[in-house]
Amino acid sequence: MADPCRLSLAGMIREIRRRQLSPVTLLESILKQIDTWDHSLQAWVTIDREKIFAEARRQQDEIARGKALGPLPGIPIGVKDIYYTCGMKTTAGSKIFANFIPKHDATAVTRLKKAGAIILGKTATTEFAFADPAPTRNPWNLEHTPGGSSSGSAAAVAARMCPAALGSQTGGSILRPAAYCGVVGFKPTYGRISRHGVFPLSWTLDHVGFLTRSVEDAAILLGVLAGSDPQDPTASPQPVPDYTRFLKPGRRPPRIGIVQTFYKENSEGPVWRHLEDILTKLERSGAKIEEVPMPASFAVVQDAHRLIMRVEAAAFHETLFEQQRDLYRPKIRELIEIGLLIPSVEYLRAQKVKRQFHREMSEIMRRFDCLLTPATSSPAPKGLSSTGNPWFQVPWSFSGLPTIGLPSGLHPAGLPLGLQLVGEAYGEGKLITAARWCEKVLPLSLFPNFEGHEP
Amino acid sequence: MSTALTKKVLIEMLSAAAAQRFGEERAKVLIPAIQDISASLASLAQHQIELLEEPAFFLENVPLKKKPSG
Repeated sequence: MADPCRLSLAGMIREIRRRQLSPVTLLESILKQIDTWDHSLQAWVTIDREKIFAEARRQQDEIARGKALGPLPGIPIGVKDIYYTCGMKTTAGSKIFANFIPKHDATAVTRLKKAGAIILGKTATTEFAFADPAPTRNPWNLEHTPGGSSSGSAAAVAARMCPAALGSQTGGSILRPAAYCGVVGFKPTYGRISRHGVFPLSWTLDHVGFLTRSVEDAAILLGVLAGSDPQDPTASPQPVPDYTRFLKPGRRPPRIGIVQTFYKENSEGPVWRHLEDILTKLERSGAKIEEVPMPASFAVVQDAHRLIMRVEAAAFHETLFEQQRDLYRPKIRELIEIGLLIPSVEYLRAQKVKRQFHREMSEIMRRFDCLLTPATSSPAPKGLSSTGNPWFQVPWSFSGLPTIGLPSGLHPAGLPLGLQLVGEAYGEGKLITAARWCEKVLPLSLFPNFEGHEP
Repeated sequence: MSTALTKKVLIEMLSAAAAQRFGEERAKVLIPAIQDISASLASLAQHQIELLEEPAFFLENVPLKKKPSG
């Protein structure tokens, strides 16, 4: 068997179920990887080794006693440091919460634990999931940003420090770091996964999601995390299907809509040329590809998103900010201050645009299995002072439609490039089928090689 | 009202509010951000929305499906 930390999440589950791998051996392999590489990558902010080894040993004993296994038996999962974790520090990347230890878990964390997962630790985030960077570096090149705000989650999954990690996306905070680090990012429909116990940035734009290394792993994790939650009124009561059954090929290759509006003019040359190469491969394999014009509301989506995020962040932080404004870093401070100035009528106008855009996009989505765009306008930018630009993800965070990001190849500079697939509301199953089909057609599994070594 | 005028009015309005709320010194630091958000506000003001359109907030308007279609 390969070094266990290099297995996919599905591979780890299979080996544990076959009794070929124990939770303790898996954890040792993962921690060795962290010990070797995290001094360079700085993906983790908290790991409680005593606690997680105790949990791994407990699960190992249960397996030995023949106890029925959950869907994630002994699988170590990373959790972005904006999710409440009972008894484990949750800083939100902020000095204000440097010593905050929640007394309960976020619903997503509860569901992971219930499924048998081991909460490995907390991954680095930008401050309050906005734009002031975490110290994390990109596993493909340490001088480049891993993206944000789910910076540590993306770097950790790419560097085989865990098979999957929770992230969150308000603008582009899952799919952008996923693309920069060469892994799969999944942002489900708004409300598909409960936001309870997650530090909000903007209530009506925040999505709970995750990063993995394959579409299969994403399907498994979505099945564990999705579902209604009495503690989050926005968590949908729509039934949760077995998403892994959508991994089987559909009756025909997918119908894919290409969004050229905005994306072509804002992509760097090599990024768009790479997309055209991908389209040729997909079409040769049978995909029906068609350009999709965007509705008029698309033109103001970035403006409306900017407005809503500022107002809602200001509303959440107002009291704390009045008391401790000097502890806020510059970008989040400015975000809050601007939000405090915006008139309420303008905020409501932006929310009207949100509804209009969602409705118009839902009509368009009926004709396609998915839309496709480049995941980012460029590969991961050099430097750690910015986490890159979220604008390629913003329309879909704004619409609430589900997206999956797939690694698709390498830029001439040796950094990963990715695709962004967009599905219809609550159409995660169909999106998974299309993504799995693309994954089979394209060489999508990327492995970083930094400092001359494979992490 | 033209976009340019709307933006100008918005910059004046938001700058005055910033000075009142955060002080003159901080308001000066915020000028680029105020110009940026004023451009967004002006752009939104020009966008046509039907009279009876309501704000979205959440996706509660999505009808429940009887069976999961995936």
